[in-house]
Amino acid sequence: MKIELKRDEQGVHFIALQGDLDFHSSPELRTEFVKLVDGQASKILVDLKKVAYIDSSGLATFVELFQKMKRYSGKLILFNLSQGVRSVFEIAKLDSIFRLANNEKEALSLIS
Amino acid sequence: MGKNFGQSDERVKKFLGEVGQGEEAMVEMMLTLVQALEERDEYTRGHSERVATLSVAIGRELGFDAKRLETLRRGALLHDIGKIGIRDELLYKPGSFTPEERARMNQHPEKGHFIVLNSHLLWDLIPMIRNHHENYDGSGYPDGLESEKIPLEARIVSLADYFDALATARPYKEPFSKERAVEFVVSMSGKKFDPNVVKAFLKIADKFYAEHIQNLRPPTEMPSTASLDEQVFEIESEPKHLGPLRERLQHFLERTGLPAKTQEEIQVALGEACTNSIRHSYLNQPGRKIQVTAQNQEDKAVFKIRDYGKKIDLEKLQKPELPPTKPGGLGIYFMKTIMDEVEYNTGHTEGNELILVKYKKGKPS
Repeated sequence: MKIELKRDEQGVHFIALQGDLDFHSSPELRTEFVKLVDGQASKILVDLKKVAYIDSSGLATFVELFQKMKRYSGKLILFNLSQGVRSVFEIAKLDSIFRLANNEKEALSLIS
Repeated sequence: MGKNFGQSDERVKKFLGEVGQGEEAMVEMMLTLVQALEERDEYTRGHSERVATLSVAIGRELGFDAKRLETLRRGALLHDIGKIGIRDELLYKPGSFTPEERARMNQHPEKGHFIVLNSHLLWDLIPMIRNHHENYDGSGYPDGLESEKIPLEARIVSLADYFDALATARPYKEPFSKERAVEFVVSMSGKKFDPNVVKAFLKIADKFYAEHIQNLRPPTEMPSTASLDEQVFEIESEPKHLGPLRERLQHFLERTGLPAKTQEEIQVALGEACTNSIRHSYLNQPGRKIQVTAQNQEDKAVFKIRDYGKKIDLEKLQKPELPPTKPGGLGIYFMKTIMDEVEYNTGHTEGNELILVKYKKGKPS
């Protein structure tokens, strides 16, 4: 899994993921998330355009991040979900909990 | 065929009739090679010639001139020559390969390349021999070539080879009907096959089938054990093997004819089952075996996930809240939601076996 991190002047963290998010790659992503939460990152946007596959451990990684960010009122938006990835969120009924945006523009407007 | 010299003579005449005089050496060498392969692999008998016939018919539709058609025909005849270098127990194994066996089997295009490299008379045929298992989307082997980078002749032979394999009987499967075989080829257009080659194929498919395949049909039903399209995938109990397993399963899933969305979801369910084995049965201990037996049946796809670790009581695994507020328990929920049936085979004294079923036209009531 490739994880690209950047931060803009407004303090919004962009995370672009590339590859499959499964039991193999989730721990790596979790490590990055833990760092962001430790730094009290208040706005996180995750670009899932290049993620074709996600399983329950991938979802669990996002659930954990979401719960931790809630404690300090951080905002998390996921965007550019492929149909397959979106359907996994839907099966877990997580589409109603997470803010899922169609594209970066929409994600930015939701977070500011 | 070609069991005695008389018959070979007939074949020489047949070939010479088409290529003209002066190329005897070339034709004899080709026949020797074709026959060597046919002596090795009974199933290849007739297959190479049908692939050649179909390839030429497609090439003609695509406007090939006589010289190019002849090269295409020869390459198609010899496309599987590398199978000479495949061990008996692999070559004759019905249906299911382990990953290691599959990898060895997949070396036959390169082995073929090496064989014909010995004669410059055969060099024109190399693209068809080396690249007839490339896929249009780049997912094939041995070079992973994509679209126009795959020599056109190889794209043609690839389709002809696959169609003939589908439409005729194999030790492990009944022949597909013409409609089903054609439908499969069409469904793979742009993925496995070049759309233009598919288009040309569709124009001549009926004629080819009527003339070369129809009469091959066995008069009686084949025994039911032979009707199974089954593949066994084996991985070791480490998370890093999950991704490569998905890639291999994808080729199988495409054969089931299930919608793409369902295929994606089944990948998730199977991933969860294997993750379960890695985490709960083998307790993250690497190097243990997990086998996924995949069956493409007429009305359903069946997957058996087998491990040899600690017994798991599925009912005792954490039940998730929905939507989940903490990690854990989602895996079994995914399996149950995605698949039509999830059964635990209690018949094994060691390890676990999960049986996951997806019906092709909805679960029967």
